[in-house]
Amino acid sequence: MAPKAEKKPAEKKPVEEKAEKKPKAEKRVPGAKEGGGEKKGKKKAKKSVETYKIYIFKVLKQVHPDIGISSKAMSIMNSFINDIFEKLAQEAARLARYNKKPTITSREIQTSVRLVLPGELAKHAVSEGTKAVTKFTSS
Amino acid sequence: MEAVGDGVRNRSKSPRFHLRVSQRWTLALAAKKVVGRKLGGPKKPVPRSVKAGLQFLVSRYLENGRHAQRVGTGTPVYLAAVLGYLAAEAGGFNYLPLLDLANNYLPPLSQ
Repeated sequence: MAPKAEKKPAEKKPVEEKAEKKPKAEKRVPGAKEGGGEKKGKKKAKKSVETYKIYIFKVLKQVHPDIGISSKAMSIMNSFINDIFEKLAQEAARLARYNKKPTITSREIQTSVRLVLPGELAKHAVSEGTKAVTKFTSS
Repeated sequence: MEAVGDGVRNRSKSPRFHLRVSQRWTLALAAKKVVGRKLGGPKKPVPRSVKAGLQFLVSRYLENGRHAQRVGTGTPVYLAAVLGYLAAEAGGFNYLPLLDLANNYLPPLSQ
């Protein structure tokens, strides 16, 4: 990964407000692949641990290219993403069941976002989701 | 007598029938070529996160059967976008001012 190669492991002492990532934390992501459908996991060799850490790092580099993140903070963010995922997925499943439909579509996810997230967060999240789906469909 | 004559004239249309058959065959061959070209073209697999302009993974977590029997195509894209936005927002990354700057997607700011 390019962002990992650019970064050099430094001492544990944080320089002012820049908390750089520890080299051990990088090894905890054993080559998580991009793209859908390839994360079924291989039970033959070793069980690959699937996390959101590389994606959280990508988003961080998008917004603040110079700022790093500690391993504990990364774990917290990973837990947060898993938690929100479960909430949205369960709410969408509930909506699908109420309407007696076997399919979770982006419409169910949109409604779940509006129900689960408060106020402005829901508004912006719906905007982001709609934008992504539109771009995905047109490509 | 005239009826027999008409019969003979109708039989004389056989070369036209042959032409029609050859035309059909030509059209079939042309269609086959066109279809072959389209199908034979090499398509590189593009990850869906790139198609949607996202950083988060577009995956099949929903398709384990725990939540619903079926999942639409747009569902993981939408969910990935929402999770990516929340990761940026809840991490205190100041995502909101950048929303106005984004046209199709957020390019890396380091460029």
